[in-house]
Amino acid sequence: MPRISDPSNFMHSSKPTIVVHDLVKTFSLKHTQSFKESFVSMFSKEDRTTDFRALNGVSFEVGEGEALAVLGHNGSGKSTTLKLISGVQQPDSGWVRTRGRIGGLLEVGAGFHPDLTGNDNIYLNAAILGMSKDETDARYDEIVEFSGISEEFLDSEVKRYSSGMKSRLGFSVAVHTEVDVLLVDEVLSVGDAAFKAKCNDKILEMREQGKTMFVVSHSIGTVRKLCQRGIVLNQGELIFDGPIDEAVEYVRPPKVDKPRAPRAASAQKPEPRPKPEAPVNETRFTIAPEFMYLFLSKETQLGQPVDDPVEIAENGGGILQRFERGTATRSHALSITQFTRPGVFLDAYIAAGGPQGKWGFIVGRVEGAGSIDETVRIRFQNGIASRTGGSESPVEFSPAKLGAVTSTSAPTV
Amino acid sequence: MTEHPALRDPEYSTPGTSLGLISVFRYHYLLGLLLKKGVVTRYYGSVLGWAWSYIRPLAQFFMYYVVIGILLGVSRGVEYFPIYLFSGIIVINLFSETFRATTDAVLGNKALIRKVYLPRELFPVAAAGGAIIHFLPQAVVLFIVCLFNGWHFTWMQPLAFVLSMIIVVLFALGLGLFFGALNVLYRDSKNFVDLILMFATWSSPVLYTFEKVRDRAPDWLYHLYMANPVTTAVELSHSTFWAPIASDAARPGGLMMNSAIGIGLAIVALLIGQLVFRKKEGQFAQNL
Repeated sequence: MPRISDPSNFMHSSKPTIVVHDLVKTFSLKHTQSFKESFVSMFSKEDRTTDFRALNGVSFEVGEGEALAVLGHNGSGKSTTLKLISGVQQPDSGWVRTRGRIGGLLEVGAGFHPDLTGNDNIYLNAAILGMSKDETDARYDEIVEFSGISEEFLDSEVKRYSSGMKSRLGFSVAVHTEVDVLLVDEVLSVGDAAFKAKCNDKILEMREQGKTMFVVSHSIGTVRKLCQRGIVLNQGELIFDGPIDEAVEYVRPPKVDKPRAPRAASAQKPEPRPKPEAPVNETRFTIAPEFMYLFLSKETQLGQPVDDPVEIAENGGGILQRFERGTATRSHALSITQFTRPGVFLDAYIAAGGPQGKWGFIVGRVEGAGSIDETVRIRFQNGIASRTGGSESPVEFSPAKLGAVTSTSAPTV
Repeated sequence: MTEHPALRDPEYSTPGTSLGLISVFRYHYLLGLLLKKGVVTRYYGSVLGWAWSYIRPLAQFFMYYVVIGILLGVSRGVEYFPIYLFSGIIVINLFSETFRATTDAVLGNKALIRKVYLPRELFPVAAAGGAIIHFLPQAVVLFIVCLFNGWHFTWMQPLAFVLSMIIVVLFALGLGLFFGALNVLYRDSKNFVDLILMFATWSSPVLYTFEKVRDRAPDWLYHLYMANPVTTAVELSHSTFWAPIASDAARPGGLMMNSAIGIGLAIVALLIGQLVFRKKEGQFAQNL
């Protein structure tokens, strides 16, 4: 059973500010964008949508004045949860109820119009965030001072601003809105170091004023400073709810020298991560965004992931993930995403150390397959693996510089 | 399992719910700012600026006047044909402008819609407001021309003018909500709008008089034609500007009746538009 801590430990008031009950949200990845395509797909057998379950029965409550951090890997459902709480999206089932005025640091500068002046944009953005004219007037000086933008710039169009100035102004308006609940989504990286520090102070100040906070962040340092409780999402399910120090253990970056590090790390956790019996054909592991295309593509037929993605530091850095019908790698240095099917090549590759080893990342697909005498080759970052003759013959690796290899340009996805 | 207390407690609200068009009134301050934004940025960076709001209809009027009025000779038998033409064109312009702007409003504000929850009807309504602001200069130009041609005041004229505007704007807003919501899912609904607008110009007595339809079409078709809210609005505009000048102008019968029908149809369009909009609204953020 997922560990759900006793909520009374954390609540400052009898009534929670945010109640989230059994949220389910499925995205249908639509491949059609026009009447014509939809019409054609009605008659073809091809299914033009792929369902992706972003949230699967998530429930929690946030007490008044509490600061809750939402943790999880990319694609675990954090942002979707935030969008459902802010009302931008609606759940497929389950419900959300909130108390008081909700504002967010997620929409920094969303309402800016490049052709309007900074002043006009302050009023427009404040109104979008729910402020009246009087409230904006009252806080105008504070907003301007906090943003650190000079008078002459406030009278000129926002399109003349640097991107740093734009986000400073947006953030400044957002933190000065009158709210009871603040939703924070990865925006603490705004502007230069000095402004960042100012933002963090401002958020801590709001926190001390007793505002309820709902923080989505990858920065362990930030959430530890801001929140006392954390929930952890994985594949759209809530896997932990409790003290922040225990929650962050779930998202600590895995050790890079061991490919199976995420599994190994779970042994050190205060309580082992519950591992539900995975039903067939249901995604249980996070798919790295880099492999989403391969995963969804009809041609590659990779099947479901059989493990979480693993960060690789060697050979220029990248990611490796194992799927039912192949292993995919992504090299950050080469910007190449490629995969290899299970078989003698893959076995030899793993035996040689995988992407960390001397072969490097997968660069090409199988070439020369067909006849029994022909040499079958796969290109890797640091050379070519080849096998001549039948399936009994061994795989040989000959190192080669990639520059020489890519002259025949390996197909990539 | 007992029901969660938050479901009953009136202190709680459900994020992302609104009363649709009714909620727009609560956001009148923001609506005002959005309108201002539209006005300020419309001709941003253009030298002539708002003069374009006058130049475009004048050029359009001139083109129609030369081709339809002089070359094709439709003006024969219609007194003050240019004024007749122009009072119809401005109504069609208002209709096209409102319809197009409201349809585009959701897509045009996608950055906001994806990030902040606001009653989404705000954007089409603000777009309709912008269209009205854009329309008024044209009406002013026409009014001044009419004054020089012996226009005289009766109480029916402002009434007919306002009625005509209400019918057109409500009708176009209803259609705009409908097609704007569908446009998020299927981008081709914009092309349907273009198609409808192309018909709108010709299926109303703008370039010809209603008598041409009355004399040629069967009775049922004529009544159908006259029941079209855009036709009604065009005829109301003729009553406002052209009829007081043209002494023996033939006026269609039952204009009051048709106005009532027009308002009714506009409200029906608005209700249907609002219903479809609300039904699709939940999917906006994820599909934009």
